[in-house]
Amino acid sequence: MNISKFVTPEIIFGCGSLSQVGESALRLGASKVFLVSDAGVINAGWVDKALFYLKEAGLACETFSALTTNPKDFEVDEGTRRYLASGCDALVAVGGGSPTDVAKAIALLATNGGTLRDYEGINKIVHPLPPMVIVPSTAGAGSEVSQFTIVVDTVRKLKMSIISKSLIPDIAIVDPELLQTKDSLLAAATGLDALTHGIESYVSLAATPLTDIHALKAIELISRNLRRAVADRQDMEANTNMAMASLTAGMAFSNAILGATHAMTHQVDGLIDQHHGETNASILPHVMEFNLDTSPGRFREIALAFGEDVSGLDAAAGATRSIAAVRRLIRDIGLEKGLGQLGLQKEFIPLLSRNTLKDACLVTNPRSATYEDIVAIFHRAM
Amino acid sequence: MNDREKLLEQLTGVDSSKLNYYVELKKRNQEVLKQNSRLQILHQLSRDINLDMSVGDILERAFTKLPQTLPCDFLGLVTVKDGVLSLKASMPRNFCKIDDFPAHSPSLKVIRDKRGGIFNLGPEDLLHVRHNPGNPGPLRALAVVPMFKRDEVIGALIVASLSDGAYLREDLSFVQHLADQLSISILNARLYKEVSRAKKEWEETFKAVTDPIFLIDTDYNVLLHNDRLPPEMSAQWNKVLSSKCFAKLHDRDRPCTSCPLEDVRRSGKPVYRRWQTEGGILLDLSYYPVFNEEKQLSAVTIIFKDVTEKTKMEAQLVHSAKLAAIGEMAAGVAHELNSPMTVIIGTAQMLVRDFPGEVDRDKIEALEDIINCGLRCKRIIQNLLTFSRQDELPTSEIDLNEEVERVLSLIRYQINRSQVEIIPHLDPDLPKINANGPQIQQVLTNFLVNARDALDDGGRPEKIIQVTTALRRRDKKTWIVLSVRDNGTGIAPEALPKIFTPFFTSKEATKGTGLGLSVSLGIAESHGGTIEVDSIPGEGSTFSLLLPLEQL
Repeated sequence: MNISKFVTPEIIFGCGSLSQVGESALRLGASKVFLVSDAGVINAGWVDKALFYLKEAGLACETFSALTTNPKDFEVDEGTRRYLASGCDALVAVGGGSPTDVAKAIALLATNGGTLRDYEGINKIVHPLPPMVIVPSTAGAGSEVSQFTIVVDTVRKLKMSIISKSLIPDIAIVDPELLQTKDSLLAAATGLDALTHGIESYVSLAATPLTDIHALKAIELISRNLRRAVADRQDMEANTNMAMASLTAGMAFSNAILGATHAMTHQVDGLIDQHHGETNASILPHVMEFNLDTSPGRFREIALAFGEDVSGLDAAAGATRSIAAVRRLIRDIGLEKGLGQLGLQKEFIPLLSRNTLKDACLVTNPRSATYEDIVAIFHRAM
Repeated sequence: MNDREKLLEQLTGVDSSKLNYYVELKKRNQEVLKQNSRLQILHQLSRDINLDMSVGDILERAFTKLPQTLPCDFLGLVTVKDGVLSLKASMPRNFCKIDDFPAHSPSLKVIRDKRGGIFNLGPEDLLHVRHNPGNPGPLRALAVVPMFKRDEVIGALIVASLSDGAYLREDLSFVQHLADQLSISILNARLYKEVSRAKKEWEETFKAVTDPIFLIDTDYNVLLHNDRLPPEMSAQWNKVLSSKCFAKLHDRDRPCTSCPLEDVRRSGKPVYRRWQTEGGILLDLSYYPVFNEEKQLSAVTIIFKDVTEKTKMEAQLVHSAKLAAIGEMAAGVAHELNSPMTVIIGTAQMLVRDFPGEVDRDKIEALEDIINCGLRCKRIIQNLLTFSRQDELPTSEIDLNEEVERVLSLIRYQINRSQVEIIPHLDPDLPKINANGPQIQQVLTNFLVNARDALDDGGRPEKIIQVTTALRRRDKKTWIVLSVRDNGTGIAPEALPKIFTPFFTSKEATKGTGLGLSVSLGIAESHGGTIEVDSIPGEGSTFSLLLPLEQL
């Protein structure tokens, strides 16, 4: 492919950049803001801060926080109902992947109508969405810059991937200060999620030089900062680097898309409601092994980004180093668990595998995977 | 391209983009501007279309405006009547002819479905359309919409273009709006024509009535009138600028006392009045109430009926009947008196003959008095008999002086009783004329009675009535004139114009009927003559009967 495209929101980065939320919303033409968040973020005090800045900018606000990790379709429906009734004309999300994806989904349904299932897949949105400002409070999801929203279909018990450039927020405000309040497990899980984004988009079939820069940068930052960030939640240098890593990983995967790891974890998360980062940790090394032969040079680059010494090694040998580095990191941050430990029962593997084949993320996986391939990986990841 | 590549292209390719509010806004804005310009055209059309336009005119007006917003090479109006379609009007006017609409024709389909449609046509679809070779053609795209009168389809409007696919589905609603607008205009124009025709009929009916008719609102303003006032009243009518009836009819600056309008307002029923104008015209006035939808009095229709002539004739009829009765009675009495009178005279004459010589001179004189008075009585009786036979005597050659003598002999006593002296000046050389003697006597009697009455109340030392007969030449005609002059009270100038109108009288109720002069004038006119009046208040009046000599 000779022509490529790279899409990101307007990005405001830096400690204290939360203060820009009001002005940003104002710049997008908002008069009443629908603020989506969750209990954890509210308890940490970030929502009050955001509301302060929004009100300072002269904006009316309505807060919606009735949502859980791995956001559910009915939560989006309720949010949409509230949004439409509130007379709001812009959305602000403060929080991790859940509030962000819910805000995007609400924006989608508010202007396009119907149910989320109508938009599952790629490019099904027909009307523009209301202005969105996203303030991530975790370093991982990358949803603040991505064209994805992932919501659980509670009937079919799976994560729906809705992919459209229209889902890219208008402004992303990345304030590393927000990262201090999350606990170590969450820091580890989100960090591992960001790492997965970096690795999958780097080896993706749709990777371009523009995405590569961001993917490699993200991997490099994560390999050097995630351990510190998990160990000391107040380490602002680590937090800032992790925020940047998550952001660059997000920019990379939003444009280069992901791979089999995400295609599989989407299914597992829909079923067992675990943190997405933890399931990623269980599956990522196995998918890397599966993909290794298709682009050993790229995996060797990943090993390099991890700081592995690959001098003198050929591509294939260097590539295997990347898997070892990933496994080491997973172990160091305490996420070394099989899917079985996370609560997945083997009898679900056929179902999960069938659904994985339908997930859009599988499209860009460097190696074509059959049903049997997926089943095998699931078994190895147990 | 396999599925995978297609998906990849969609996920990352350059074709998918973030949908943009700005783009959508611009699109909507353009749509709004387009709709706006279409609305403006609809608005302008509805303003331009006059009520008195024909369907063709209305279509022409639309045709000039339409291309500003919609491709339009042809505009046609198809009407449906009893299931038969016909091209009622089109622009350009002679673009094509359609004698028969086949089953597949767009108009028929639209009318049947009651729903508009866009039609892109091949030449075979338009075989039924006979193009005028002078116009460019054929039409390739049609937007056809039904035209409604309420829920009923009365036809179809065709907007057509020479270019293929000129119309989009979105255009259809505009064309439907246009058709609705035109339907309304056409129905309005039709309604207007009906109303104006009905209005004209009513106005003509109103104007055709020769009696004056007015429509007056409850505030006395004249709303309508049919311009049929008699000349002397219309002068006043036209002079007054105010629209108030009391000003226009009566030259008053406030409503008349006891205006019939008040009675109508009170009773809600028609009111009738009789009114004698200054000019002496006798009018019967009918006031008919006009009610509005709330059953409140909103206006009054007034009809004037000139009954002057009718009343005069009635009066004459009554008078004649009276006179006939009196004449009949007088004739009877006279006839009865005639025999004893003959006996009295005869007997007295015999007695005179029986007194020979100079014997009893006194007795003879007494007898001769009886004879003379008897003869006078006979003459009076004869006059009465003549008078009573008036109906039987149309005209004959009469000596006016003799008629005067007859009247005077009958009436002199009656008048002398009021200490009035009658002085006759009768022209002995008067030629005879053709006239109805008794009628002439009636006129003279009337003149004399009036003169006597004019002398009655004045404390005048000398009460004189002069009766004159004479010849007069005037207007190259010779007239015989019979004048009665008194030196009585005279007639007030304002009363003068009215004295000939029936029932006008200055006398007390018991004395006069107000018919004498009116009847007299009637008699004069029936002889081709007239009556002249000359009066100075306080000095007396002269009434002259003029009869043409040549006539009759």
